[in-house]
Amino acid sequence: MTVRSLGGLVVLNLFALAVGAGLLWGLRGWRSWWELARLAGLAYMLGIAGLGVALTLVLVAGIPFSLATILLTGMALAGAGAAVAHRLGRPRPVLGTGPRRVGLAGAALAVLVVVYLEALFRAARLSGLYAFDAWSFWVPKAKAIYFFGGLDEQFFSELPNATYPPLVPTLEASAFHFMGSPDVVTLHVQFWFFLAGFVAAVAGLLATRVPPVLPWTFALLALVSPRVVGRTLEPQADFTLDYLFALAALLVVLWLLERRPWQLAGATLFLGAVMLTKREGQLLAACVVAAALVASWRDWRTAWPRLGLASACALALALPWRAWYVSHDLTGEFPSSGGTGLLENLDRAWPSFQSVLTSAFSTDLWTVVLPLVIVAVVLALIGGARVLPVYAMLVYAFALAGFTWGIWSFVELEVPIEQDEAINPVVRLSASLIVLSAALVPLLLDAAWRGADPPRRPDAG
Amino acid sequence: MPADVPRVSAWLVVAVSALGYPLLVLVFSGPPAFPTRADCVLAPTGEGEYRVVFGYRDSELEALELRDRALAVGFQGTEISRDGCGRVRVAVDDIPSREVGEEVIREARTVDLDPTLEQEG
Amino acid sequence: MRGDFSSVLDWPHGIARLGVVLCTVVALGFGLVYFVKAVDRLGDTARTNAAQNYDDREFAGGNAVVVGNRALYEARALIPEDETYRVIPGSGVDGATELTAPFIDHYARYFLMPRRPSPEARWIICYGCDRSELGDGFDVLLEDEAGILVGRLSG
Repeated sequence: MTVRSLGGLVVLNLFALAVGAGLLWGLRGWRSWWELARLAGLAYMLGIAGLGVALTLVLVAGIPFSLATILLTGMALAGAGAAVAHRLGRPRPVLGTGPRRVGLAGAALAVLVVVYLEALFRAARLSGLYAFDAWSFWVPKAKAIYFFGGLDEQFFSELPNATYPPLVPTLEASAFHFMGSPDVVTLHVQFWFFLAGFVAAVAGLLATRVPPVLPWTFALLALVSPRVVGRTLEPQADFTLDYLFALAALLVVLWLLERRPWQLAGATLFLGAVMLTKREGQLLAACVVAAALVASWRDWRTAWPRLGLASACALALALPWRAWYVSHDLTGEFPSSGGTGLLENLDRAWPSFQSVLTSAFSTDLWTVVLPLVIVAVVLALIGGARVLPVYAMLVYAFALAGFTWGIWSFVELEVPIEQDEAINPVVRLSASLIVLSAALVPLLLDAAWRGADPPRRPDAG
Repeated sequence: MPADVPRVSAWLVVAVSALGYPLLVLVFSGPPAFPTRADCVLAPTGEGEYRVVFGYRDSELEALELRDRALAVGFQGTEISRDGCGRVRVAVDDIPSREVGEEVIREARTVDLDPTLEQEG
Repeated sequence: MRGDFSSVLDWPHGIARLGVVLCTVVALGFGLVYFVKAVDRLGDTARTNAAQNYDDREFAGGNAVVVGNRALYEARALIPEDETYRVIPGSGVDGATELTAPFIDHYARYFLMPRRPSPEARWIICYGCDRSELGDGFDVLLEDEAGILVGRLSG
């Protein structure tokens, strides 16, 4: 709650931005400092994902977790990015000619998004820890890392959901170190940074590809969804997972369209982070990869090996955590009735699907986001685009199918299936599709307008 | 009006407008608060009654020890109470005036107690 | 996105462009309406948060589980950080909610960290438990109005 806590958090997030800038420099470089300003959101989210993944691996390796560990890890990541850039001979950036044109309408919408973020910051700053899961296990795991300097065996085995990956608690523990104390009130501001970073990342990536009205409109629509307004600041992993998933999905589709290697490399990092954020991250990552494989079937000889390599690398980032909890005899990662048990519970199939659709299309939660996604996909197909709308349609379809499987196999949730969030996780699951829409719908509508998949833009970032 | 305004002007519009909301908040809600435990320590303002506070402790057990010390040297009415900021206050409430409060404080300092004067909440 | 509006109904490009415009207008409409609601709601949330006292903000969600905050504050002040404790819930607490008995140990674990819970701990928070089961060697250091005890087994 103090100025010191807030200041510490600002320093942490500037550090994450610097780490991410180092990674971005290695991945793609930038021609001008204005280009870096445009991609600052992406740099920040790369820093968050990179730090989250690397610090999780540090914890699994048993290296004591401290402020020094965080700083050294970040510096190592940034240094690795700089080393790659040096090896690739990236030219020094110039100042550049200034920010991109945004237009009056785009400017007005950007103002609304900024004002929304300012209002959200006010709500975050003095928020108590109300969310049940937050005080039940997410924050206690973070406190355990902070107080004991690692994956404390007692707390990580006794706290609920022991197999949940520790990326978010690791980032929360990092926040505690920078704040100087386990300030669970100011911690909510860290989740504000995650949301602001996500919005900036999507805006930056789409700024060179679609007219500014589109990304700001659909970012605004996703942000003002009642569920986002009410829950995005909770110190849990749900929305963090959604931001990382949406960025992974966006970078994958940009790679499918433009085939810039850095896009797939960036997506790999985000996919690894997704799998280390929540168990359903594995499902979401699989949906992205499967959709990309199908959407790229026409040139499978070049695309599929690269997608396979990216998937393998992302999986390699996630496996050490799995090895840790298996070696500590922790179980519960998958629902007990998720395999052949489905056949014994066929009567749950349709109600599960209904539950997923009810949540995803709930106007009380998400206004009209998903119906507009469907319209956007159809319009892009009518307009003549193929790769983009097929990919988008498949990501959503696979995710909806995956969520249905999740509810179907969660036999503790009896039929008729209640939508009560206290017992049914479907609302949390469906949020990922809403957040994804802020990234994909502008591309779909632009493709529908121009009458084809987005062109390769040599200068696009 | 042209559909595109000069690029810097549009961004200036964003920057200036983005300042509008925080300025409105400052005007209507005042400066932001940064709560600390010290917020439960009310400086004397002259309105209402006062309290003579012998100290704050984290636990009631420790607070009771301080209370008993104060009672033993004659400060009748010394009680403990939670202050609303996670601490336990040891104090004599309902002091009618600043002068009476300051007299109590002078007396307490002669027996190695170091109270302060606060406003009652 | 300058368009040729004379061909707005041409298939497929005219229809697609018309659809894009309609889609964007609908999104803008909902976005603006819900923007106002969102900023209003967030302003209310900020004001409510600012108006809370320190204790309520610190306990927050725990206020639905605990019965008053004295017991846990006292436990936090008395139990050294390197010692263990245990919470023994029961039905004998005035003012308990339906969440108290099943979740008080969860909340205490969060609130009292870095102290560790242990079934053999000598520090005990009796949250409505049967006092007779604690034995004669239990020193009560706090008993609050709801009957919650904080104490320690001697020896």
